[in-house]
Amino acid sequence: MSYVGKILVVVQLVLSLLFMTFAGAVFTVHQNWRAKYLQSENTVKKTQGELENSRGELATAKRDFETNLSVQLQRANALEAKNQTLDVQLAELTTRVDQLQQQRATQTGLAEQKAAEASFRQDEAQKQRVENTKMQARLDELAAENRELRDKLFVGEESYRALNKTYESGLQKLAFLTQVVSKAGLETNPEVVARQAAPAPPVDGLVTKTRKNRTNRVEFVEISLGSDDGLVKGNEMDVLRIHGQERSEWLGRVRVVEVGPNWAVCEVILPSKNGIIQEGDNVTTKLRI
Amino acid sequence: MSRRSSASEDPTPDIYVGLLFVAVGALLTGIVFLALELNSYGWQFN
Repeated sequence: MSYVGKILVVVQLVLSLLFMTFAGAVFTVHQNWRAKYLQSENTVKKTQGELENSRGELATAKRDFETNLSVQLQRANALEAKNQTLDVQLAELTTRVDQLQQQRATQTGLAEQKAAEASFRQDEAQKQRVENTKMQARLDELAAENRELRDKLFVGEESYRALNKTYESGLQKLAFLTQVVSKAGLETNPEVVARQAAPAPPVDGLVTKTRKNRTNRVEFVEISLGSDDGLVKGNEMDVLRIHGQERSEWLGRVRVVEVGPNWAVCEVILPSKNGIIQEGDNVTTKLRI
Repeated sequence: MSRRSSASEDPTPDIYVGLLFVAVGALLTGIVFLALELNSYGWQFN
């Protein structure tokens, strides 16, 4: 090999080693810009997507905000109006609270009085309980007595029933006897009988009507006195004719046979020869007293 | 024609042949490094 060939071999070796060194350095030290580009591109796309989403969310949020703003404005107006109303109500309520505080003070005073009264009532109730205990014992005694009285009442009722039967049979007998007496033409009213037995009351009256029999004698007269004046059947009266204050004539005696409240029919039982009984003559019972 | 000796027809490798092999290995190594570099870019040149 020539000298030049040797030099070229060495040069080729040196250049080959340099090539290998630079290639190794490039492969070892270099940065992969393509991978960084792709990574950056992905980052940009992702960021753009996020940006679009954020814009959409921003638009939605803006619409929501505007809607919410309008609602809140309306609500604020309503609340403002309500606030004014509440201010008025607050003033009214303040006045009311003052009144109520005054009433509360009054009621507190009354409540204190009531509390004192309640304490007094409680003491009184305690006394009443003691009294009630005594009354309960008394009630028990009275209940026992009541039972005894009920027993007596039962016995009395039995006696009453027996007496009632006797009374009813007596009433039947009395009715029968009354019927018999009535058929005999006698008075059955005890009061009338008693008044018939008693002397006639001292009364004066007038003859209002007369009735004559076939012999043209006065048989019945009607007088202005009746049961209201105390007359009963059987009373006897004298008929007078008064001439002034000095002289009078006795015209006969009559007996009451029918009595009304303010009238009576009398039968002439003892006529006089001094005159004939006429309407307007006086009748009196005072001559028989 | 003279008979050529086996040394003239098949010379004995010397240091320079070894250096040539070393140079070939360095070239191949550099080529591999560059191929790997291109492979990382996907064999795209623009």
